[in-house]
Amino acid sequence: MSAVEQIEPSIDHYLAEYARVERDLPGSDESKRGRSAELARFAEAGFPNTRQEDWKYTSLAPVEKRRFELSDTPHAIGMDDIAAFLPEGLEAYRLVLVDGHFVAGLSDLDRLPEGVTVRSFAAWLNDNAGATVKAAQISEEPGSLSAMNAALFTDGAYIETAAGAVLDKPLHVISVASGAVDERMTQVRHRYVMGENSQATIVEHAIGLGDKAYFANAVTEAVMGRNAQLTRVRLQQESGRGYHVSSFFAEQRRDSRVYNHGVDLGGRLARINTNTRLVDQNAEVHFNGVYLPTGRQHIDNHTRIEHATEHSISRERYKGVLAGHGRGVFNGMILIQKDAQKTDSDLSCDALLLSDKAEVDAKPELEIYADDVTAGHGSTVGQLDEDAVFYLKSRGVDEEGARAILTYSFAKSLIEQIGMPAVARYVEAAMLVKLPGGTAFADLA
Amino acid sequence: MAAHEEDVETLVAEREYEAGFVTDLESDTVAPGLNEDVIRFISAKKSEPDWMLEWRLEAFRQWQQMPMPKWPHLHYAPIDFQKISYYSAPKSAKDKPKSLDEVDPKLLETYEKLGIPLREQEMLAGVEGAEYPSTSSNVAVDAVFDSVSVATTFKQKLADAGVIFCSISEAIQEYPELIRKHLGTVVPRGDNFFAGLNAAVFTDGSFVYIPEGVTCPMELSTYFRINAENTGQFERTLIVAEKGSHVSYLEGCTAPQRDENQLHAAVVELVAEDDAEIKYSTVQNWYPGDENGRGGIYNFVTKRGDCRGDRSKISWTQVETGSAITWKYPSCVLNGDDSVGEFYSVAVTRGMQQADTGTKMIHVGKNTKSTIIAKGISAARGEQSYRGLVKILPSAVNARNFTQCDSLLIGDKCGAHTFPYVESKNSTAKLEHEATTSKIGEDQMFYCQQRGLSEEDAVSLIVNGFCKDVFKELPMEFAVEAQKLLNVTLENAVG
Repeated sequence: MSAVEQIEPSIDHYLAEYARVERDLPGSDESKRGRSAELARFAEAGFPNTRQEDWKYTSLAPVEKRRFELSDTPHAIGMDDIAAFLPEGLEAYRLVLVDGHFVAGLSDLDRLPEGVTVRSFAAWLNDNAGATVKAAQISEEPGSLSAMNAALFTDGAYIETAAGAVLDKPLHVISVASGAVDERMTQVRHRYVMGENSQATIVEHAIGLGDKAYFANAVTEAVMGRNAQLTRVRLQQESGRGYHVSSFFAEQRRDSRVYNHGVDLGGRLARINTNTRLVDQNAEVHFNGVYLPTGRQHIDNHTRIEHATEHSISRERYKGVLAGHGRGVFNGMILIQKDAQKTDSDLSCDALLLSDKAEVDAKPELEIYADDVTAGHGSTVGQLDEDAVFYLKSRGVDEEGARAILTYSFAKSLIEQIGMPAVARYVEAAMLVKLPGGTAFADLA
Repeated sequence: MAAHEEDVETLVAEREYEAGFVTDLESDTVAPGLNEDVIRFISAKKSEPDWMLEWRLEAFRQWQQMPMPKWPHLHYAPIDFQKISYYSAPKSAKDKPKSLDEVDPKLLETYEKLGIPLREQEMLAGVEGAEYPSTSSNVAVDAVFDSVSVATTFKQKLADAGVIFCSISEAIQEYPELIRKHLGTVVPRGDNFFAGLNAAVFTDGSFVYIPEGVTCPMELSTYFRINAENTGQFERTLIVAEKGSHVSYLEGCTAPQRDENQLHAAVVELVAEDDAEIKYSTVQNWYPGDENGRGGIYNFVTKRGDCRGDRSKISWTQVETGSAITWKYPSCVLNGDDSVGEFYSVAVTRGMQQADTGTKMIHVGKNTKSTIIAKGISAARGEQSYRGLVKILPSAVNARNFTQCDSLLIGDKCGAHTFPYVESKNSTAKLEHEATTSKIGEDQMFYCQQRGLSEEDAVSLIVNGFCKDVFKELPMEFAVEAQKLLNVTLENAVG
């Protein structure tokens, strides 16, 4: 859309929304100018539409037609409201955001190890007058919704690890959409700055309460110093009328490692962009993802791994289980640049269709400009093996249980890789509730 | 090993175009430009009935509303469609030679230079049967020189079997009811930009009709050449296989060396009724341009087969070594229950060649099966993309697809890309897709060489092995030609 054309009413609403809240948004005047610039970028690009290749299978029309508003204050909720979302037995620090605002009362950030900073992004921004925020500091084409987030974000988690620092316990970052008022949105932004040789494990948990329609638009950026290691588990449990868009951008220096595990169970519509650039030798990235659309859910995962220079490694595994009218989209791009010789890359995406009304659209992509590389991808779509079902039945498991065992086993290998038994157990239980016959399996186990 | 790699790269890049020569024929060519009058001229020149002219004009009107596709992974300067001449016919064609003896000797000379076995085929007709299985030795050739079909052999033998094999212009005159029934039913006029252009201005092509229950007694073949300067070639081929019939069709292409880019926008439509089988094989070796990307053919082709009947089968096999730009997705729409679609492809890009090719398999009927094997070889500054779609509609119960696309990279300035789309709307469908990208392994080269093979033979062995899955699908003549083509590349690769 050119500048002279009339601005879409939906865009107009967000321009007005920005004007309404600008004074209260965190950050210095200078950073507000940065926000305005990002807002202009969003207004120019507008909401993505299905004519764009990246959004071919996912329509944001239900988001675009609504007029979401930011919450000025967090809705008052207590520990009881989120207790069900705390994995049993997980020893972790906790940072809780409600309706896009940090709530100290629900958080637990006591006795952080030396060299590790964990605080509200808004507070950090207010203390650092010179800091500005771009749609994605480390990506040239982050997309219009990341620009929208850069303009409108209210808060998030700011994490900084000094050289050699190790976060001794996982950090559980919970972003709650209270669902107290209809048509609210949360614009949350996290930034992880990982110093040399530092390590952290972060569980980013998006949850929705209530039954009101809302829009959660989140951005996470991670800057990985030399030999830094980040394990990021992203759990998405938005409520049934939640529209979820989240984007992750990482930039990895020499020897750094990112282990990213995505688990998508909730939301009416969810679109997740997971991106990394390996800019130095021996950087390594693992993207794993499990998604489970059931009912009328739509879950879209887009990943992009850019091997910008030689000798870097990437592994990617995505598995989807689709039931009911569920729709799954997977797009995995591996880009190997001209100088990225000796790249070692492998991607696989598998989907299990459990219903005739379910649909999956997969596109693993390879773009390769270097010759001395090992790159491969595989993609499968299928259903449960009837022979295996028969085998289990012949061993005395009933039909429903047999199907649940096989379905769960399909996704199990990726869940085990999460590495935190408490979180893996939590995910397992949350998955089984959703699976047809899952409770039967839970009883068996 | 580094020295060896450089050798391979430089020599692959330097390979000269074998078929680069020009036949001097007086052409009857229309001035460059495209408007309704040009279309009327083409239609009148071919003495077409009114309905055909209307069909073309409607296509032209639709085309004018269509934008050039921007999605392919290709880079080229915008094409000025007003600078192209849309009709060129060799003068001698006016007299419609009845046999090869009447054909302009210069034309035959051209074919001889290319090693096209036209005479050889005629000779082979006498020795049919005993030594050779019927499908591998007999080839009927409908040679297309520029835009008009000038020589057709084996016509009688085909007529005896009830097979119609003629130029599409002739078919429009002779078999209007068949053309009206099928033309544009597989690739509609408004299907895409280049198909639309073709529908408006197509000058010739082949028409094949196999009646019910007939197995075509020989392989059918057409050679396309682009000859006159600044002329685009717009071929349109239509093959209809009635119930229970079988046909194998071969298409081979090569063009003389030119500096200016030439446009080729062909359309191929295949219709397979119940139990029918069509095998369509292509060797494409048009002028790829020089090592700096000057000249070369722009090849924008729409090929699609419709497995209309139950248990029908359509198989595409292609070896793409030529053209500066290749944009081509031979596809199958599997409408009939138990129908089968196949796609086997070897594509080679070197110099500054670019190829964006692949296939679409649309599963509609029950128990439909499709297989895709695509092998890409990219050398020098070649850019190659595999772009494929496998789509399973809700009605396609028990559909099955297997896809494998492998890329071989020679040199660090080339590119190989894979864009496979998988869309499944049926839970009983099973789909598999696999892709790999690698270069020729140093250990493989070492192993071959220490067993006494020369470097050249080793490369040849490895590359031919890489392509074997596809070559084995080609009819014998083509398999030989394809390997020859590939070997020529490799010969020069090691001096």
